[in-house]
Amino acid sequence: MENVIEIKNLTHCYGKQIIYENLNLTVPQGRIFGLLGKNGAGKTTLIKILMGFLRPTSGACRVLGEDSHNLSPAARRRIGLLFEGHLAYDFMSIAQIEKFYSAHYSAWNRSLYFELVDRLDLSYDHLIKNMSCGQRSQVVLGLIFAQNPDLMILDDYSMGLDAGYRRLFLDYLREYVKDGSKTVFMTSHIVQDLENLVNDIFFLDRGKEIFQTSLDEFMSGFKQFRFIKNGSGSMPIKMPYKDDVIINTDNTGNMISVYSFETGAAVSAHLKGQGIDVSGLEHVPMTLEDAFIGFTGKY
Amino acid sequence: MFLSILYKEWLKIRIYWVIALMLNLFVIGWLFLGLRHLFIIEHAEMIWYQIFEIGTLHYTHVKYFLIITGMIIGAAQFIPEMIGHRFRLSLHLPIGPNVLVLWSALIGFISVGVLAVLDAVLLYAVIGIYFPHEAAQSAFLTVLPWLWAGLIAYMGTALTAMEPQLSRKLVYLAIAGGFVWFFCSGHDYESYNRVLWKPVLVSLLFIPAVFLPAFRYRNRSL
Amino acid sequence: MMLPKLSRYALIILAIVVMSLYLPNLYNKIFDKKTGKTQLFFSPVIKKFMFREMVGEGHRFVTQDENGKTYDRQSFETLIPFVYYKNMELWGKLPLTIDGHVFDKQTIKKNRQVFEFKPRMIADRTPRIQVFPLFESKPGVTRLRFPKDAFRMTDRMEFINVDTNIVDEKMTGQFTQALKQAKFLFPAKLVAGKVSILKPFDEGFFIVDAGGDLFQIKRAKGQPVIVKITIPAGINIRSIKIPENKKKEIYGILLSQKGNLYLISYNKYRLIKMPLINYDPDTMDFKLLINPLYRTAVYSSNQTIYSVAMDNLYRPIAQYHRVMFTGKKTMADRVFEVIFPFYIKTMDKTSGYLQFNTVGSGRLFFIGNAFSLPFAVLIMRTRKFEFKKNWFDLTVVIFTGLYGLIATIIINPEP
Repeated sequence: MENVIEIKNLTHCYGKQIIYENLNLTVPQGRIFGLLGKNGAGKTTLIKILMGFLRPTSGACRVLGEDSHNLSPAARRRIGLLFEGHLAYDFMSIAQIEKFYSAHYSAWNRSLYFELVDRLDLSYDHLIKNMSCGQRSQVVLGLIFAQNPDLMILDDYSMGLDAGYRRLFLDYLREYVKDGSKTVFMTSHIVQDLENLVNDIFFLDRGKEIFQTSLDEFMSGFKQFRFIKNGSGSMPIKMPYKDDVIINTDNTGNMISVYSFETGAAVSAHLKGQGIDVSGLEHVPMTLEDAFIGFTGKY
Repeated sequence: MFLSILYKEWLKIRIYWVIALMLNLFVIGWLFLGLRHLFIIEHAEMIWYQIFEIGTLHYTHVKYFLIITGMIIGAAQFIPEMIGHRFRLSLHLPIGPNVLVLWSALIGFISVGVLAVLDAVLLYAVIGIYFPHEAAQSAFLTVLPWLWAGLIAYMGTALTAMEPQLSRKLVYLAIAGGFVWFFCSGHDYESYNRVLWKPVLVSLLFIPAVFLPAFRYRNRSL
Repeated sequence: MMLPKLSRYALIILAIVVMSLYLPNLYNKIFDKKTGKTQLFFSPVIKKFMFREMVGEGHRFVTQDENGKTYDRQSFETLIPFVYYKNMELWGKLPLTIDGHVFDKQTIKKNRQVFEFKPRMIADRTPRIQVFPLFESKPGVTRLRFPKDAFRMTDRMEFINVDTNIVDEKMTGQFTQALKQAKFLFPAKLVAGKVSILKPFDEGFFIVDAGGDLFQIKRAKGQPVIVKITIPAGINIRSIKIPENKKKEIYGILLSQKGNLYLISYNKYRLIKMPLINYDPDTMDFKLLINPLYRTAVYSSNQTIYSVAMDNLYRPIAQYHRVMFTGKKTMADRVFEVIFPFYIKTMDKTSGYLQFNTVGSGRLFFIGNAFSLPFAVLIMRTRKFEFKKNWFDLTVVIFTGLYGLIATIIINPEP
């Protein structure tokens, strides 16, 4: 199974700001990857580098076996790319944009495009620039599905989409990856959508090491524990702090939450070591969104 | 696939091309009305004296309209590509960035060229109504460097629009401006007759120049 | 990476061309202080050449004779009375006597004539649409009028009506027939005449036919008047200028292909050859000053001015030449040669056609180029560019000096 994406020792700086340092990442064929990270973590920048629109400070990126800064037309034909903001040639109409793109892709599926676009209930002469953000998104996603690429890179596909269309899109995406030969590399602000879809996740945090794991491992390994804040008398309430075991903490009302990959007993013991006496440590089940926030922290 | 790029570029510029066409037709129409009026209010032999001996050029405003045409088409083609970094859409097409940029520039060049040739032909026709073909031919030869200036104005606008760095944009503008100025600096009719091929040959270098801004766009760090 | 590199080279060449078009002009606009050319005369009084020359700034000038003797302004002008006759009258020095002849203001005025022949006036050095008005030379009124037609020489002499823009077949037939009868061979090689209604009278056009023969063609009371002019064998005509002067001594000036200048005299169109040494018609302005006693030919390039004084029969009496002050290289000129290894010349007052010629600056340019090279190397080091990979830049700087230095800096190599 070839590696569809290979990133080796990628370092990228913008002026004095380090965005990544020695980042390594491998994406085998047939998997669906979610790239997660807060705003400004460098998700879009990574995609720009992968697609050859930016030159990294150092390191090597290969996509479909080719140097990402020199992707051949044949490689690009196999990559479906959704730009952040659902960028499109908005001077074209629904029909015109399909006519334009279909000439470039040999495996073009015209009926699939119109199947998706017909749901907009707009005339085919409707110009894209006269559409709402969400409507434009639907057209662009229709184009990508019609292209039938081997690798789909979706930078924040959910922007502007309503819940109904988001659900529809995910249905189409599942159908698309069914045969196991397609690879998807996606980011989304609606983390919850990725829960029943992705195989692997990457956490991107600016300047820090990328954290890569399978979704299952993450969801089973990463836990939230909660306990009631107890102060006695005039003594100040001691708060848990982050370290190797305690990945993150949160304080809401009179509840304190800690997040860790360890078991409850280990966490309890560790908190005692931090000088916090905890009784009644409760394990709280999490959705992917809960886990994401727990891992990266609220603002 | 060239046809598909042609289709895309045409969709992008067609309104502006039509506006430019209207402008150029207006210029020639204005010339025609001007000459017609002149022949009504002035003696024909005086007008002929001015044209042939003094060298009065009644069509110098064609110069400016051709340069404006080049800039309009260049801006219409490439500025939309730069807004919101839409250039990435084109760079991701499966045809290679150099081929893409060359085809796009060629399409723009030809679209400006068509208007330039139209201007020259119509000018020849209008002058030929009132004067012998020697005068029409002279007008055609006089206007040739200005047509070329319009094409250089197009290339300069394209280069400047595609270039990501502001200071370098100014450099390209200055270079293109220098050539445009040269092609418009003659005051008399047919003053470029003996020399036009040399600067035209040199300025053909604007065509390979288009690869650099697109390359620099992809070479940015943010 | 190949194409973007070539693309950069193309832009560097374009930048160098633009700089060599405009920077030297900018330099001259700031630093050039050269003023007018020297004026040279032959004094009929002392029989010596005399000149007024601008020397340096502030429009200072000297007035001297060929032996270096300096004169004040009034003395100078008094020795050239036929040129400054108006001042002579003001100073009460008219009438004057020279060599036993008395000259009053009327006599001087009547016998003065100036012919100019500049390179730009040569037919093949200035564009001219070959359509001309043939004036009625006997209009019956004092002022000439523009005719209602204009002619062109094709395989016939075609007259076109200016109101209708249609060929007047009658007039065309009439003149063409008259020309053929005079043995004119179509098509014409050269058409020369003065197109102006301000001239005192009209001598028509002097036209060279396909066989190299010269004809004078006039229109008198609507009818063609054709004269075939006999030209000595071996003279191939390059250009003719017809100034129609009241004195009616000279029809005009004829320039041969070999570069000899002739006057066409009213005496049976006899050609009088001008005895000019080192005369180059393509670069030198020529002036013939006719006065009551002498004819003085003065011609000059940018550096040197020449003169030949002749008698009434155009026999040379004396000759003189000098390198003009403005012809000498100044400090600004030398600095120019150091800074700019070459420049592109587009305009020249000797031609109505534009040029696009690279003019080398002489031997001093290598000093400037030698200075530019270390700068280029220093900047490359600062920007951490490898010399081996940037051989093009270094080569460009070696050969184009300052231009290359600026171009390779502002259009720097890609990392």
